[in-house]
Order: sequence, then C-alpha cells, then structure tokens
Amino acid sequence: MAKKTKNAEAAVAVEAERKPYELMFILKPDMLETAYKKKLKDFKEFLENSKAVVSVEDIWGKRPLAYRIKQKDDGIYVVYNFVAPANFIHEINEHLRIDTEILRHLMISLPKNYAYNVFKEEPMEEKAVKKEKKPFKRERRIEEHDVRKTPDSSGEKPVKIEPKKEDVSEEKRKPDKANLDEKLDKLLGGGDLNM
Amino acid sequence: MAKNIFSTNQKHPLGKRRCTFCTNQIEYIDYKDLPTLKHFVDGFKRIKNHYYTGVCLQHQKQVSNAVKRARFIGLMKFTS
Repeated sequence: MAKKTKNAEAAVAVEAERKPYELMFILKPDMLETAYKKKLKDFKEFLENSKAVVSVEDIWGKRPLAYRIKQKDDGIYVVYNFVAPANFIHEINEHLRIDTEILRHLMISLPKNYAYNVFKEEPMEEKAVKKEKKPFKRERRIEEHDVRKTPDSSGEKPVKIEPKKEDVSEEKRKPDKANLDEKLDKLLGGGDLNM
Repeated sequence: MAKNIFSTNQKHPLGKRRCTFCTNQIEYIDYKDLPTLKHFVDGFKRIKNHYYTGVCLQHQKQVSNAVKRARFIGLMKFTS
C-alpha cells in the first residue's frame, strides 16, 4: 500500500499544473503598521520558497467589515496574485487557517486572461432632504396636541385661527386710521383755528 | 464599469432586454467590483433573480458566485 501511495504522490507532483490564484485575507485591526508589514514580508518569502511567483501584492489597509467577524468591526485587507503549483494550495490554506492574527481568508483560481484592477467605491449618499421634512411634521403634531389640551373654554375654534384674524384686523385698521386722521383734521381745523 | 449600463436595462420591456455583460464583452466578473455588484442585490441584500436583472444565465451564475464570495470575505452584507 505504501508503495502505491508514494507512487501516487509522485505522479501528482509531476502532473501538478501551475495555475494563477488570487488570495485575499483579513488581518486583525489592532496590529501596528510595522508588525503587519513584517508579517506580510515573511508570508511573501514563504510563498516564494515554495515555488510560487507573486505578481501582485496590494495592501488595502484598514476598512470596515460589512458584519462582525470574530468580534471585530474593522480589518486590514491584503490581496495577492500569484502563480503556483496546484498541490501547494492546500498547504497555504492550512498555514492561513492556523494563524491567529488572520480573521478570514479566501483563495480562488483565476482565468487565464486576468488583469488585476482596482475598483473605486462611491461615497456614501447623504439623505439631507428627508431630514428637513421631519421637524416640520413634528411641529404640526405639537400644535395639534396643544390645541387638544385647551378645548373646554368655548365652542369657537381655538389658537390656530387667531393669528389670521389679527392679520385681517390689522389690514382693516389701517384705512380706518387714515380716515380718522382726515376727519380729525377737518374737525380740529374747522374749530380751533377759527376760535 | 459605468453605472449607466445597468440603469438603462430596466427601461426596455422584458422581451427586448439584452445581457449587459455580453454586449460589453465582459468575460470575468470580479468579486471585488462592488459598484457593479450592488446593482444585482436587493434592498434586503438578497441576490436578484435573472428575470429582473436581464442578464443571461451564464453571467447570472458568475454574478451570484461573485456576490457570495464578497459576502464571505466581509465586503458585502448577507442581510440588512
């Protein structure tokens, strides 16, 4: 049996194709810059020692996670593109799984004509219009509420309509005042000057 | 990828929709490409049916795969 397995392993090693892979993993957000850069340097050496050719190393830096992973809200994202023999991938996955400073990792195989792109995210949308509308509604509700509190005094409709009445009265008063002035002038002019 | 590609798709009637990825000759849909993937996700962050996205079955499969990868690595939400 042992001979058979050895032969099989050798055959796999010979047949193993070199394929392009992409690896993304998330480091803990508490790590300092010097610490995680040293860690990445070691990891890159580990890759290159095992016959992998690294083409892209992209460090995204700290960014918020979409949901909590291992009680962390942020994470340091790192992306690698490399070409490696297929039987080596399992080894890398084990290496990353055991590591306690890595929250999560994702290894995928890439198509042959793949070019690494950096995608820009759009800024968050601000909902300014809705914020303006809300206080208006609250004010209306408060006014209605106040009206309900003071209902019993009379059958007439209360506080809301009063300002309108005042406006009307002011408008009416202005012509009255003018007329009164004219009348007073006539009366006074007729009486006092002759006297 | 431009935003306009996906906004125009819904203006056409259901019978006349064409796959946006086929017309733009995009072969591989990246899971890091969040600006495009957000068009294929619901208000509740569920993957839209290809009946509503207007994408062909091959590309719909790629889209759903990309969304699932993005979810796993913490770039997109599972639910909201």
